[in-house]
Amino acid sequence: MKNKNMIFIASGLLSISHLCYAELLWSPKPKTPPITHKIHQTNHRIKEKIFYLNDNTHAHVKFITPSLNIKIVNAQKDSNKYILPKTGMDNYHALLAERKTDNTYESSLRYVSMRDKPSGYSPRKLIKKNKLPLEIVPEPMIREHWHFYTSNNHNYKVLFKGKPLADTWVTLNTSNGSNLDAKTDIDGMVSFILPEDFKNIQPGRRANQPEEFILRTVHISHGITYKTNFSAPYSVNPSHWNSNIGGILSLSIGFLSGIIIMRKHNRASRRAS
Amino acid sequence: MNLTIIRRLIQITAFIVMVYGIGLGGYYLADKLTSSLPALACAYDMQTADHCALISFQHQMAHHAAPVLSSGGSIIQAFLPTAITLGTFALLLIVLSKAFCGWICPLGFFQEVLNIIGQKLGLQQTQTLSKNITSKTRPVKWLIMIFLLFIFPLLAGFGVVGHELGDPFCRICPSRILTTLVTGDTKELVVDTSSMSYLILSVLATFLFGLMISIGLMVRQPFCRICPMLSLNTLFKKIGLVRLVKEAKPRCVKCGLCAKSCPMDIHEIHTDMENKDVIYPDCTLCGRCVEFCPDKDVLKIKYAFFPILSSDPGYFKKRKKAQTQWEKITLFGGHKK
Repeated sequence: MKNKNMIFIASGLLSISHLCYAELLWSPKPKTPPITHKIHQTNHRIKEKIFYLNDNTHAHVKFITPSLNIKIVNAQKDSNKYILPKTGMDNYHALLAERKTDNTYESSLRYVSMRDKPSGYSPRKLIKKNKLPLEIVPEPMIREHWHFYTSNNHNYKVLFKGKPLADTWVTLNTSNGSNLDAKTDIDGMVSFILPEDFKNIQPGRRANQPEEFILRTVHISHGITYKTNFSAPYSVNPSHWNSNIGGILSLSIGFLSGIIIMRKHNRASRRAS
Repeated sequence: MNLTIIRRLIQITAFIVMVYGIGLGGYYLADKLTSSLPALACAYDMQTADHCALISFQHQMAHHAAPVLSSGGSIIQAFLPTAITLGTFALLLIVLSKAFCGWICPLGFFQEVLNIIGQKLGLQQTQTLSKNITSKTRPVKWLIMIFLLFIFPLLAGFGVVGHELGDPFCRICPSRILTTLVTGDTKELVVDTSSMSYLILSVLATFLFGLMISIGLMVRQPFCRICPMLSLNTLFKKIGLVRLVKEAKPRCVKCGLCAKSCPMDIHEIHTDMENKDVIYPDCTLCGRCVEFCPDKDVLKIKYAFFPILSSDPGYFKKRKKAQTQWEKITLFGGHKK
C-alpha cells in the first residue's frame, strides 16, 4: 500500500509541478456541454464520432485503424475537440494521445467502434499491437454486442515496453464516483468488478445512459515517469430488469405446453387409426 | 459408415466451431471463420460469431434502410447493404445449397439430438406429421421471414412501431437462448421487464424455447419447419451446387419410404412423379430420402454434375438394418423389442 501511495503522490506532484498540465484523458463529453447537439440527433450510422481531450496542450493524437494504419488527428480550432476521421473500415480503432516532457511520458488510450465497410482484420491485431510504452490492455477486448456492465468482472493486462508489468498498482475510477485499486500479478494481469454505482436506475438499457470508467497506472523507469490511462463506457447490468427465474418459469410452461400438445396429438392419431 | 453418421460428425464439428469458436481457436477463428458463415451461431453468444445473416437483415432495415429513406436517400442507397448481404449469402448457398440447414446449423443439430434423446427415453415418437399439419405450418416460415426479418425492422426504423421490434426475430429466436446457454451464459434465458413489448417478446422467446424442447423430443425438427433460414435458402436453391434428383419409377407409387424417412415430412418427395429437381422449400438436404430409397438410382444427391450418393438396394438393406438396431436401443429398456 505504501508503494502505491508513493507512486501516486509522486506522479501527482510531477503532473502538478511540471508545466501544470491537467491529466491527458479522453472523454466522450465536453466539460461544458454546448446548448444544442444537433449533430448527435442525426442518424447514428452517419454521425461523426467526437471525443474531447481533457488537456490537449502539447499532446499528439493518433488514430489507429484495425489494419494498423496510423492517422494523425488534429483538434478543432482552439478547442480540445477531436472529430474522428472516416477510415473506410468498421470495427475497433485505437484513439491515442501522448505527451512527452523531459521526465514524464503521459498517454491516454481508448478504443472506438466505427461503422463502415468490413475491415477484414480481427480486432485482436490492433489490441495486441504494442501502441504505447506503458499500456493497459483489456483482456479480452469487448466485441460487438459486448458491453462493460456493472457487477461483471473484467481483466486487463499492464504492459511496459511490450512486457507484462508485475506488482503494479492500477486504480479504477468511475464517473459515478467509485474508486477501486488492485495490483497486477506476475503476468501483469489485474481484475476489477465494475461497481454497482448507478443511481436512479430505470428499467431498460436505453433508459440508462452509460457512464465512464478510467483505469490508471504509473511506472517509473530510468528517471522517467510513465503515466497512462484507459477509459471506456460502462452500463447498468441488465439483470436489474431481466429475470432468470421468470425465464425458467416461462420455459417450463412452454415445455409443459409441448407435452400437452403432443399427448393430445398422439391421442387423436390413435383414435384416427 | 453411412451418410447419416458422416452428417452427424460434420454437425458435431460445426456445432463446436460455431458455438465455442473462441475457446477453440481464439478470436481469429471467431472473427474470421464463424463470422463468415450465415449461421445461427448467434451474435449474442459471447464465445463465437458476431454475425448471423438474420440479424444483419434486421439491423440493415432498422438502422440503415429506414433512416436513409426517411432522409430522402434513394432505394439503391437504402438497400445496397442488404443486397450485399444477400449476395454473400448466395455465394455460400452456391457451395452448400440447403445443406446448410441439414449439415451445419447448430439449432438444427440440437433438435436432432433432442429427438434422439426422446427416442432413447422411450417417448412415443410421431414419425410422420399429417399433411394437414404440415400444410398449415409451411407458410409460417415465409411470414416470419417477411414480417420479422424485413417489415417490422423497417417500420421500427421509420418509428412507426417501437424500437423493440427493430430485431424481432432475434428476440424470439431459440438459437439465441441455446447457443448462450451451452456456453454457460444464462443472460438470454430471461424475462425482460423493462417494457411491455420486451416482456411479451421475452416471454414468447422462452416459451417457444421450452415448447421446441418438449415437442422436439417427440417430433423431428419442430422449429426448422418455421425457421426463416429455410425460406431464405429456398430463394437461392436454383443456384446451389448440391442437388437432389429423382428419376421416378412405377414402383414409387406404392412405396413412400422416402417420405416416411424425411424429417421435415415432405410428402411430395413420394407423390411427385414428374419433377426431377426435388429440393422442396422445406428440404434440408439431409439425404435420408436417398438412404431409405430401396430402388436403384431413383433418388440421387449430386454436387454439380458429380453423383455423391444414389439410392441402391444394397445400401438400403444395410441402412435399414442399422436403423432398426439403433432404434431398439433405449435407455431404460435396454433393447426395445
